[in-house]
Amino acid sequence: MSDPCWLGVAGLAKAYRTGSLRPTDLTEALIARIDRLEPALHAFIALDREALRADARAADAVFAHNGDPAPLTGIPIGIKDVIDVAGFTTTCHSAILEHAPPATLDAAVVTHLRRAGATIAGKLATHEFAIGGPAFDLPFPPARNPWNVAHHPGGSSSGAGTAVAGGLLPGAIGTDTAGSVRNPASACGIVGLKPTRGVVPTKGVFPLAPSLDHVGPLARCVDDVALLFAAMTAQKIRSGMPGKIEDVRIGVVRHFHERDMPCDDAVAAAFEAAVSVLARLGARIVPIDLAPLNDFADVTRAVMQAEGFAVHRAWMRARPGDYCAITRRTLLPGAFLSADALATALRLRAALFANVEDTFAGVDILLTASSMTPACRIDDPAEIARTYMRNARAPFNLTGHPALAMMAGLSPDGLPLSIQFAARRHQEALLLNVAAAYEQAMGGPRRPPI
Amino acid sequence: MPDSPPAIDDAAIAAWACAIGLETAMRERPQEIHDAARAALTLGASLARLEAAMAEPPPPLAP
Repeated sequence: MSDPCWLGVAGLAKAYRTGSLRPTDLTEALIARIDRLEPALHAFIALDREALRADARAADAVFAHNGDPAPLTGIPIGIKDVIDVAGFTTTCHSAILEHAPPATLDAAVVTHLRRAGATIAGKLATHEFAIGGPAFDLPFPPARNPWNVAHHPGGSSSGAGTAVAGGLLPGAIGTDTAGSVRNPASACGIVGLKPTRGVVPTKGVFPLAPSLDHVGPLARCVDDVALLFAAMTAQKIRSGMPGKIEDVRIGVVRHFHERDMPCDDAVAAAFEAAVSVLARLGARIVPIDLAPLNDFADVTRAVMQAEGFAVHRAWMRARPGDYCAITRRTLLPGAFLSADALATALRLRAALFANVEDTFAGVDILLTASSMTPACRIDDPAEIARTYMRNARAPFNLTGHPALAMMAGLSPDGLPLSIQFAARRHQEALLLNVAAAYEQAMGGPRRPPI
Repeated sequence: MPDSPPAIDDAAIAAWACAIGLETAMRERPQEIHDAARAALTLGASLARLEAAMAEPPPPLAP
């Protein structure tokens, strides 16, 4: 058998059922890999190895004695450390909560995962309170990119991207308020799904901006993301994608990366290559213009800063020095936004929602760029400031439409490039199917050289 | 093209920050407070410009 660390969610489920692998075998392989690579990758905030081993032994027993185990039995999933897991402190990667008491209850999404049989492997690194960017003035180090540990892994679900891309876990759960599941998926060359707003419950998730917050899965292939999404929403688990995408109408949005936020040449080339692949698969390609990307970005920033500051008002007043500098810089403008500015933002949000919704009258799927550049070096704050917000992900937080980011090749420097698909609300099945067809045509997931 | 920060002096920002309970941050990191206030005002101006632009009728078609 090949290295079990690289078996995905679907592959593990199959291997357990055929008896070619036991959960305890996988667990020991993962722990050995984590022990070897974690000092360089910093994916985890907390990992309870003995609990992981105990859960694996229990899963072994289920497969030995139960003819119909739950679909994710014996599959370890990592949880971003803004999501409550009973028995673990939810630190939000912050000195503010580093010594808070452990959560007494699981977040709703964790409850769903456990009911589907999943093992909760541990808590994963994030940007402080899921905002800002990689920082070195926090109690825990920032996660690194498995494709090149000198580079950032995206964020804010940074540890999730790192752990999944680095083969430390087969899947993880992140949060996405302005792209924070899709950013690490893009930077780390994996797949990340932001579902339709409201489909995955946010109870037990530390809020960033409640009207923009989403919870979503990250995995190495689309089929695995589909399995996790089904478990998170307590839907019937399905697998076996892709189906055919002939005659699916794909609206291609080029002005985001050509005019509004010009991208690197490699990103543009990967985007055009993806359009060609989708056309070859039989999709109908329809050039589409949406509202300018910067309009979506401004409105998102206003809503996020206003709502985010409201969440942090008391701590920002009493102990601002306990936040890292990037978090303060990102949240503090929310203190000074006027009610008039927020009201304007909310009217614009409704107009931008209508713009996207109307567009879906003529197409089934939208294709956009995701990140406008590959991940830059993590120790280059000027380059992070220049590139980190150059992306096309926030529009779908603002509107609530489901969106998925995935790998679209490698840059000349060997770093992942990415694209993004979006769909009508509650059309995750079509979204995943199109992404799976593209993934299959591209030869499937790729592993980093680590 | 990003909007320019509106004119507002540092003393006005300091008074504003204290009025909304940010005395500690103002005392410890005054430059961050000044930057935050100006960023918020700039964003507010940008949103107002955007809404005004959306309200304008589209230009007439060329003959």
